[in-house]
Amino acid sequence: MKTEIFEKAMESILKGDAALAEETAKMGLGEGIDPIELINKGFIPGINKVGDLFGMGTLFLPELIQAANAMQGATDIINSAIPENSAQARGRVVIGTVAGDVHDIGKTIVVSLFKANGFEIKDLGRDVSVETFLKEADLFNADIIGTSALLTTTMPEQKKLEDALIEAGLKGKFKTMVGGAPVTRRWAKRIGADAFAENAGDGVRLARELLAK
Amino acid sequence: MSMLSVTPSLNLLNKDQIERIHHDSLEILATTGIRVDSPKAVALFKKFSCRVENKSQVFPEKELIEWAIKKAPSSVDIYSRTGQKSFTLGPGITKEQQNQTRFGIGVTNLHYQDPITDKTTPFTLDHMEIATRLGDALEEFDVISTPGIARDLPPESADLHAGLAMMANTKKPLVLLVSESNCFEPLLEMFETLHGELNKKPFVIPYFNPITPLVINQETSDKIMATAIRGMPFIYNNYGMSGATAPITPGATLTLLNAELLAGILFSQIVKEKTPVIAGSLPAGFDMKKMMSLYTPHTMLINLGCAEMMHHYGIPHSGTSGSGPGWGPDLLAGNCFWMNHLTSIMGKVGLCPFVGGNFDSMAFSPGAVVYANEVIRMSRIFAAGFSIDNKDVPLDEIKSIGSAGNFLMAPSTGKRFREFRLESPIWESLTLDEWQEKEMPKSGKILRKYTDDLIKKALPPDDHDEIMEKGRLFITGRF
Ligand code: B12
Repeated sequence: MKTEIFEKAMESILKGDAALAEETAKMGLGEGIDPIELINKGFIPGINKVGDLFGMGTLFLPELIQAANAMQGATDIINSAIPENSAQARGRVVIGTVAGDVHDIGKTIVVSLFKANGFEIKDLGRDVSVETFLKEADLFNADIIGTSALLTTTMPEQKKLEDALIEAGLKGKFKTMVGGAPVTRRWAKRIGADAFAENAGDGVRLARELLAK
Repeated sequence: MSMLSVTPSLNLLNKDQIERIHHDSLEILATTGIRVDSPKAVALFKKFSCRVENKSQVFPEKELIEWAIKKAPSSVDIYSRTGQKSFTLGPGITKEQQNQTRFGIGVTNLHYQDPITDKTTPFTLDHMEIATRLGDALEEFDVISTPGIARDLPPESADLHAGLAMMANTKKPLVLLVSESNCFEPLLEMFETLHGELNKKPFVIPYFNPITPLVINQETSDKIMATAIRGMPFIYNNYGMSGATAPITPGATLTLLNAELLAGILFSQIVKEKTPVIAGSLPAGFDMKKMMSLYTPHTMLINLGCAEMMHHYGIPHSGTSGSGPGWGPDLLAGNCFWMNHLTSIMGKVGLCPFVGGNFDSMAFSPGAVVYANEVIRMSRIFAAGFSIDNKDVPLDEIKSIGSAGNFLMAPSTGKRFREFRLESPIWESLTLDEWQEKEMPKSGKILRKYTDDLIKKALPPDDHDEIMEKGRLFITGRF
């Protein structure tokens, strides 16, 4: 029965079937499966597979987003069955487009891919000030702050964030990751960001590396 | 137009279809509404008795929209920097001028492709000068739209230097994109200082976007207010990526984008009645694997549909320019230019302002611009059509030559062959033998060399130094 439920969980995510994912999550809990085991052996292999297939160019973005949604639905149900302090540590990321910048599609895609790869992610939207990044990262207990800047004129906000982190003595606490059309690896290095991501997939890979450090 | 002149045109929408799109657009505005981020702008909408919910969601009604469409000028004259009328945009103009699509080079590219090698480097102020002079030298281009971002300058003042370089290196009208919002008003002031009033004979057209779907952001409303108060025209273009920021189907994207444009036209008129607004969409698709916009036959159809809607409303139009997929001045770029330029000219497109950016408008390619100049030239000839009147169909001449004769000696051939010849300024015609004898030259290489020569030869206008000096003085006084 257990293996059947794990397989069903995986299938629900691969298919991006939110209703099936939620039903399976409830069924698994109802059968008395340990919530952490249910997520680790059922849903996470599903979402990992989705991430891989997307990375290889087999899945399209809308399929990825449907899978991420299904994952979210199942995770919410399972999380509510896990006692607070035994919740699994997964990468926690806050992300947003910097102040003065309204370009948010790239950021939104990054959010989907991070979700699809099992990260806990808070999307702060666009036109986000340095103060908001700091406040929200703290509230969310984030491991990583991701910023997107699509304009040469808003890239300096990414530097402002680094400066603010140093000033507040938080540079070690939150890792930073930068992206966006005009942003380069050189820029990331120059301002002291921990990582530069060329695209969303790159971002996931680098986030894992940062967390492993 | 006489029944004896054959002028091809492209028409998409019939009257009922236009009505339907209009109706659905109004429905979107009345039920979903539009989010307006500027409290000052919301207050204006309220003053014109629009329903507002949650402080910023504005629901404009049919009557008000239709009032705005009537108030907005149906044509706008655009001038050269030296005060000559360059062209008129809008359906409210004379028959002869109708469907004269105008083209510009652009826009806000972050990189510059070397004309010979295609290698990209960050766009600089020098590239701004080169690009502007190139656009100035190429006959088919009517305007220069901020070709790139001067990345060798500090971002807080780069827009000012870029604007000055554009102004000093051409007399053609300018379409202005400003990335640093704090530079916008100073830039207009600089143009006023160097040129005088910008509203009487406008040679600068600022360019703004709402955020699709259905948001008029703070920066855009501030810029519109600053422009309208000055009595200047501006371009209001929405950029929608089907499946990402706009619905996946062409019909729904067209309708949604049209609704946004109506809201923008309304906003322009409540800020100041009779403000000339040039409206239109830059519809794009979205590559669901590569995560970038793309141009397809469907996006070109939406572009033409939008142009027809604006034509129907009597609003001057500006649309998409077919730049994006190229890797250089190559077949990929050429494909999209043809699809865009020919259909734009044959449709009701007013302005195609942004020709020349490769890689999804990231890298300015001088060679692509030169190639596009040829595409525009030929498309214009195509759209001009031909005549079947007595002069053009000389039956007596055909009779006198008779069966099995030839027309090499015919009087009309002698008189008119120059009118109908098509020669390229770039490539010579070669027979297969000649091509082999010349060791199989590559047409792309010849285009690159031609472009490079053109850039080296292109001179600035006579008043270049004077403008640069005055402009620099203005900028150093400010920053
Ligand atoms: C769509 C678009 C718009 C839309 C934005 C709509 C929206 N909701 O986002 C609109 C029309 C509103 C817009 C407005 C403007 N734009 Co614009 N825009 C673009 C365009 C064409 C595509 C951007 C995009 O969505 N790409 C698709 C996404 C998926 O890619 P992406 O954002 O790069 O993200 C990917 C990676 O970079 C990476 N990534 C990005 N961020 C992050 C963050 C993290 C943490 C990670 C891990 C990864 C990551 O992963 C993503 C997925 O693979 C670009 C050109 C371009 N090719 O980039 C210009 C561009 C960015 N815009 C530009 C300009 C000039 C403007 C305007 C100033 C124009 C104007 N009207 O005056 C305004 C500025 C408004 C403002 N204050 O922000 C210039 C930049 C100039 C500069 N100074 O740097 C560009 C390059 C213009 C161009 N040549 O076309 N724009």
